[in-house]
Amino acid sequence: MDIGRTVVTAQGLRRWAVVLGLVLVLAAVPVVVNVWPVRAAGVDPADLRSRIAASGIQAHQGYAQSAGLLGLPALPNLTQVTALVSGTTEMRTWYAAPDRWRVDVLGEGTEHGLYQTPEAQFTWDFGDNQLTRIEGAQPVRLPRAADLTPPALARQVLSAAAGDSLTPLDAKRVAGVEAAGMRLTPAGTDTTVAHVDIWADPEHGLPLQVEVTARGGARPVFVTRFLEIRFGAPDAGVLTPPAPRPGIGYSVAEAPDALSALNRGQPAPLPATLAGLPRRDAVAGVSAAGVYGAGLASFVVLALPGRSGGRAFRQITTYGLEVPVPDGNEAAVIETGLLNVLAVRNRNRTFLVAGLVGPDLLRRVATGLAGVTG
Amino acid sequence: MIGVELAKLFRRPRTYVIAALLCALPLTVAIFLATTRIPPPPGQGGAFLSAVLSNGALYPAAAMALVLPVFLPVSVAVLAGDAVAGEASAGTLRYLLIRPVSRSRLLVAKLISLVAFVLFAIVSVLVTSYLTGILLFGVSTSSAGVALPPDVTSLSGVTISPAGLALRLLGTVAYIVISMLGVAAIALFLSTVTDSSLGAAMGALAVLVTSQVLVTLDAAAAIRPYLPTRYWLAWVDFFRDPVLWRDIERGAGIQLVYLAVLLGAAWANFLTKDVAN
Amino acid sequence: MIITHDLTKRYGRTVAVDSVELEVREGDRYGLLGPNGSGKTTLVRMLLGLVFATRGEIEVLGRPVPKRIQEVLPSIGALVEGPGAYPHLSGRVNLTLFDAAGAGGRRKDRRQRVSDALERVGLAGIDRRPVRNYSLGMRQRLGLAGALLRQPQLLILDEPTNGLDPRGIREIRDLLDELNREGTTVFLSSHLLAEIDAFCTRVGVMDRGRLVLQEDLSSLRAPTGRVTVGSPTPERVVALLDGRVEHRDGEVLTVRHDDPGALNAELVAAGVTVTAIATERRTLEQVVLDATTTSSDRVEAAG
Ligand SMILES: Nc1ncnc2c1ncn2[C@@H]1O[C@H](COP(=O)(O)OP(=O)(O)O)[C@@H](O)[C@H]1O
Ligand SMILES: [Mg+2]
Repeated sequence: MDIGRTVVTAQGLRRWAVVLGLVLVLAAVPVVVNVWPVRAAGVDPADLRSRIAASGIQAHQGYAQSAGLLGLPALPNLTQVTALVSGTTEMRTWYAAPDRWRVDVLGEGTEHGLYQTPEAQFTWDFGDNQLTRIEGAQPVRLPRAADLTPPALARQVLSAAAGDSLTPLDAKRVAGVEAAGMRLTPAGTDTTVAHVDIWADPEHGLPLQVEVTARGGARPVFVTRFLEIRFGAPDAGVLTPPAPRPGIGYSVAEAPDALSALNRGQPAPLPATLAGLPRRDAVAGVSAAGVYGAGLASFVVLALPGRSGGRAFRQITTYGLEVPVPDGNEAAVIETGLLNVLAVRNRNRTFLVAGLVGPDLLRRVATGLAGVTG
Repeated sequence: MIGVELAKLFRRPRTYVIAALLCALPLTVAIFLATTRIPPPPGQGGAFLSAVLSNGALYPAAAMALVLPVFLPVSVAVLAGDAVAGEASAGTLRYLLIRPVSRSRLLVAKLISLVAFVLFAIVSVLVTSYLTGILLFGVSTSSAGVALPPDVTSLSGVTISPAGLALRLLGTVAYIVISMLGVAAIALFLSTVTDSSLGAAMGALAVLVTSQVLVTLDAAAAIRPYLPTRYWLAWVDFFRDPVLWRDIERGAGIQLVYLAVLLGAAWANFLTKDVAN
Repeated sequence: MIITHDLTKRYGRTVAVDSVELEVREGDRYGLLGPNGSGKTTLVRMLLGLVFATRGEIEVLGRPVPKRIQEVLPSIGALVEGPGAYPHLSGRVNLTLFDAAGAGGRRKDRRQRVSDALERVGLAGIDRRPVRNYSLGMRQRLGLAGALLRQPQLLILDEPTNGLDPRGIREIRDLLDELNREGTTVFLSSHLLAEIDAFCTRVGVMDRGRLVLQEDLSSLRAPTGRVTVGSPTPERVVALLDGRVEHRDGEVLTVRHDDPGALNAELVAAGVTVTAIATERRTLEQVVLDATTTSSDRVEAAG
């Protein structure tokens, strides 16, 4: 091509070559960082498991992100929970000890803080300009972001699935740490979980990434991982909750969320066995909620009182599938592949069931709950 | 040459008109908020908007959140798009070049004058919105019932001292200037490609709008960290306690990368370009 | 001062400048004459490093262009295709900005330099009106003042008298005359023949991109071998000179003859009254018409 050529064309091309080189170098940086080989830190899964179990004393601070692809509709009073498993949650964590930590959930222009101190828990909500002191133990409560940090989730899963098999996985670089991996595969067929992959720092045992894959799925449907991690105790100042003062709202609560409020009412009693699985209540005095099943195939049953139960039931029938149950009662189920939610309407009572359990089990549970009398 | 560009910037009525428009937006919002006292629900509307009702000293931050996503980038794109193309079509470019002004120095001077404009615009918005906030919303009579200096609550619930607030606002100004570098570089590059100021500004805005759309698209998650607008709102992290540097660092880094590449492209294109017409 | 070799510029398929061999010598008053669209402006832009040639070499003030254009430009004052100024600023501020933009030129003398330049072009009395409100002539003068800011060795002026009235044209010509006598080489382009004729000592003629003629004006104006004679009795002249009269227009006749003195003597001896007699010289117009083919802004039908 002669058109457009001038005496300075060669010079121009040289300059463009420089720019192109710059672009290539800059584009190569993230690629190289990604494919840089990880020195395999082979750790025996059983060993890793015990290190993880012991890592509760490991002080650290970091930036974690959890992402769920469950696509659960926003249920009344439960939007915060459904958002956790259906979207991305960004968290900053500071952890000094099991009774001294803080987790901040970040949003665009908002922040929800949760502080654990030896005396009490505090929540801070910037949007509501509200500081809340939570007194006493919370025997039942809804899942919250702080349960989804990699250490919290990994320990929860491992403690629930005591007998399930562990196989080693390739090491992986997580937040700059070369983490050893292992895969937990549940033995039973009742659960929707195909396997849970966990990577942890081989030195301290701190879990850095957890991936949950549902049965029949190729990609994990829930991932939580650290994007940044620093080991060592955080500043004491960071762990101190904001002081109540004029200008911000302050309250003291004993039952901060919908579920613990429920437990304070007079809910209907739950059956001792469901679908052949015995109820295994951990805490005395908790009657509104019961846990059935074992390992990852556990599920939670709630008894909701009349009015709010009706609302929740309608919401679930709108999004879910109807399940045939005897005795002229109604039931509906929402399936997300991993987490399934069942609602059963038995006369003026509503039972809500949620768990990482398959639809077959839930149908049996539905029949069981529809048959509850008294 | 930099002095000349600054003189041209600040001798032009257009500069002040744009700055005034930028200041007018938060003022309008403040008037509506102050008269109706209906705060946007938390997490929706502009950042900090619900917080300013209780403390007007935070209004500069809310004002930044109002002008940053659209108004400021549009004005930067318009000015940067006009930087070279405008001079070319007005016929002044050739007279600058035969002065002589070297073409690379001209580009750098243009960029610096754009930075000066952004600084000027942001500082105007900060000053007017601070005054607006104090006058319309008042100050939370926190400490000893004394109105000044006001205490401000950070996103994390901790009180920010006036000195801390000033530092954070300074960081915000610096970060927003850096955020606008990418826009300026895109428009400046396009301005050396076409002789139409409007075309260059539109081109830059098209890039920004595309980026904004992709940022919210989950399917584009893989390229999200590299989009020019991805970290635009990261200055909000200055108001967390402790300050969250992660996104701020990344945002600044991305902007510098865009700046380097696009300024390089502008340089490669402009230095051997015919100045005809 | 300016030498080009095989200088060619193509815009897509149009050849704006075609193999031009320009030569401007020190002290010249060089006039580049050519109709609109013949490539004058493009040539000027290439000399100033604004536009880059498709092929060919340029040397200005002894240095290659565009390679060492930055060394050359400080010694050049130029006006390219009309003046350019920031319309919202006054003429004085415009000149101050342009002066500050270029290297050299001490800051503290700037005000003086600007005033001097304005005075030279006849704008000493301008007020703070923005350039937006200037007449075309005033803008042209302002552009010229810009070119004169640094006392250039070489002035390159593209159509410098555009928009000026006859008096203005005369003033500018006097100014250029003065500058040239002070030693400034003046290179100007124009599509107006009269202007070049009145000022230049050397002329180049552009025709559709090519430099078809480049010559000292004095040698162009050679005698044609004819003499014009004015007489109240032209029929007697015709009778007397027999077939040597080539043309008759009322009382003015054109006679083929080398020496007007001898012809005069001959006519007077024959008792013919002669009211005027002069050697006929070629006019620049004739030269240009001979050198060019068709008007370049004509668009002929194909075939
Ligand atoms: N930027 C350009 N792009 C395309 N063609 C051009 C450009 N500038 C000039 N030309 C063409 O080059 C030729 C010479 O134009 P120009 O140098 O302006 O002539 P002049 O100054 O003698 O009137 C014309 O045919 C014109 O159309
Ligand atoms: Mg021209």
